[in-house]
Amino acid sequence: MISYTINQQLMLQIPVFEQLYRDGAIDVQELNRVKEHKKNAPVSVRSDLLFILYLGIFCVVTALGILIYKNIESIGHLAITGLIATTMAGCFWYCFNKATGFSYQKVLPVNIWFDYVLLTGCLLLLILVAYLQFQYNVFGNSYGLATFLPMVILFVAAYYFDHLGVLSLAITNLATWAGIVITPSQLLLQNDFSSYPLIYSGIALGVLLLVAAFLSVFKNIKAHFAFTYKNFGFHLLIISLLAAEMVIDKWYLLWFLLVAAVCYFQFRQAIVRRSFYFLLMTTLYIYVGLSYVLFKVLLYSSAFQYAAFNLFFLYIIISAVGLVMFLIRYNNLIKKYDSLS
Amino acid sequence: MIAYHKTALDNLVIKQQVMEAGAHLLFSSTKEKELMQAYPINLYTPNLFVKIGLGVLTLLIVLAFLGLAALITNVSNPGALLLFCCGCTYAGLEVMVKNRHYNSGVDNMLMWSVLMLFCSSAMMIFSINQHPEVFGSLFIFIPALFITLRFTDSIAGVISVLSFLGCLFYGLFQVSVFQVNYIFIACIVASVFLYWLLVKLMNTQNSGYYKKVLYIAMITTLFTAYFFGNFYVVSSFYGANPAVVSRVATAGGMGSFYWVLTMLLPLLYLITGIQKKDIVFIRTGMILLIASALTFRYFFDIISVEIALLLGGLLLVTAVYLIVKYLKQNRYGFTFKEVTTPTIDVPNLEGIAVGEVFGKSSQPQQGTLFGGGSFGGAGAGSDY
Repeated sequence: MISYTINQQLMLQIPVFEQLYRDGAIDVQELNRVKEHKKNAPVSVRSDLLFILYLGIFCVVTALGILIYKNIESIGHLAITGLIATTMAGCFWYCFNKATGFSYQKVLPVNIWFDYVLLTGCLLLLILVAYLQFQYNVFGNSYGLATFLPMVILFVAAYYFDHLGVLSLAITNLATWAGIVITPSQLLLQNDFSSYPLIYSGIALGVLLLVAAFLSVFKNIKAHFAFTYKNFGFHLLIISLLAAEMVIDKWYLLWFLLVAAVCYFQFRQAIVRRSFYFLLMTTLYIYVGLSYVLFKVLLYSSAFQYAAFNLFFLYIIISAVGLVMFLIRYNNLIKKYDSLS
Repeated sequence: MIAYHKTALDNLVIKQQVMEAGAHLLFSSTKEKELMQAYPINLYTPNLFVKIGLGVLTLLIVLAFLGLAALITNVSNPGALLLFCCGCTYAGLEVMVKNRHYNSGVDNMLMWSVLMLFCSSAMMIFSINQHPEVFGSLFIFIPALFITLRFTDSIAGVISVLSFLGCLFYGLFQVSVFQVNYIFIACIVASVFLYWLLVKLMNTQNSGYYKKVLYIAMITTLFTAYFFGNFYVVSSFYGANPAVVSRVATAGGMGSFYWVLTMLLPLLYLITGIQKKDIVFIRTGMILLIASALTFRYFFDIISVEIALLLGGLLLVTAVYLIVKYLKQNRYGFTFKEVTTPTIDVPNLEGIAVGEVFGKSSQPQQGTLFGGGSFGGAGAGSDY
């Protein structure tokens, strides 16, 4: 379990355990075990070192990118392509040599470097394809092929080497192929949700990813990938449906019903799986959808024009208080163990 | 003074400690359950995600209440209106605490809203036009300290430390009797004094309920001591241009002193952390080392950004490689082995993080592109 307290000083406070001993709640062996642990247990710097390693690799890759960009004329395109391809091949060669092979279950990395080398190889693959297309127009006007090919390789790599990071890259590539930016922070900013085709693509891709999440668990093929699929799929589907509700004005009630149906289904799932994350997200999404419908029906009707702003603030206060009570109630219902899935 | 039942807080500490002990397999799961039942907590602290949701909704309620009050009263006296809202928010906070909310997101957001509303209402009521920084800091410090003491809130504790030092800094700055140098030195001394005081308080018997607050405030003073001694921060108050002003002469002729502080303080924290086996000290030292490297790079442009990144990156990777090799066996109380198992599925978060950092792509532009210009619209569009 993750450390509940923030540092050594606050962790395992001996006076607390001595008090428990005096109360008769723990025996002397248990007290001594705690004291012994406090005195001798080593401090793990694993996560700190892995973070520094990540930072170091990020710095090196960024520096190489800038160096190549600045010296592109003197180095020459062929040399750069060769360098990227060789490094990428080296990374994949290392991974194939070290990997334990494909399994339907979760496979742990053979050492701490493995995941980083694989990620570097996959990133270089994306850079190489983009470079080849930009410089040599290898794929001609078949832009779809330029995203489809690396996507397939990324999916294969993610499943063969069991890497969630590469799976995320593959999914974002799949979305790019469908013309959508799916990166969490860019989902709302970069996509033009006023475009009907984009909304429909978003809905289709969202459903596809949710189906993939379902099948991962149902068929027990890399079941731990399910959260990544579900997370991308759920947000994309709901945001696309909400966009449809707001943009495709004529059918807004129908789109709202779809939002409500998806949210209800996910809400039931969240309760069953005791997932606070999806409990919160479904609640907030349905709140946005419902509020939009209410404003459309009430505030834009002429009878309420005069008191529009007062009603608006009153609605926010009452509905938010209601939502707080709702969240508290359901939190209590599933509070025993939390999960992200 | 403390708003919560002391037994509830005592039991909360016991629960945290028992869970910690259970995580290190010091107690059997049966014993853990037994202790949890023996010391029940009747405080409401939800899961992190629910906490975030409750916090966002509470902020929405406070803002809507403010908006509604402004509409009803026509904002004839904004200071009084804000004070009224502050009073209502505080009353709401007390009610929620009475309803056993403890770090539930609702009480946290209400506390911060009280701080903001109190500060803005006081500024308006007293019509403070001169030295707004001094009075602003003071009007934050007073309620923040009160909230820290009453609700044992760590973030309010950090705000108390920062606003106190802000008040001192701007206060001395306004007096203008002192040279700027002495103001910075006074603030460093104040930070060190606060650190000493907080350590003393932490070691007293009565600090039980405030231990976490005091510890986080103590870490804050480490940061403030560094920032008041950082060369970039000090020289920016002189309006120093690194290209023009002589580096040693900057900061009132005490440039070398501040450079020494900039370079040595992070190392001091790092060494202290290693000696005390305190991971938070080590992390503070590491973060501030990066700040020092950036400060150095800002003033001494001896290598280009890409070379600096490359060398820095290679240095980090090599250092990690060597440390990992060294810590295969436990040494000096440190290990590379994972001694705890995460409760939330960290690899899933890794996937999201990689997708976020590296997975950025652009939405394909619609319409056919010919040599850098967009097709269609007869040139009426701006995208040439």
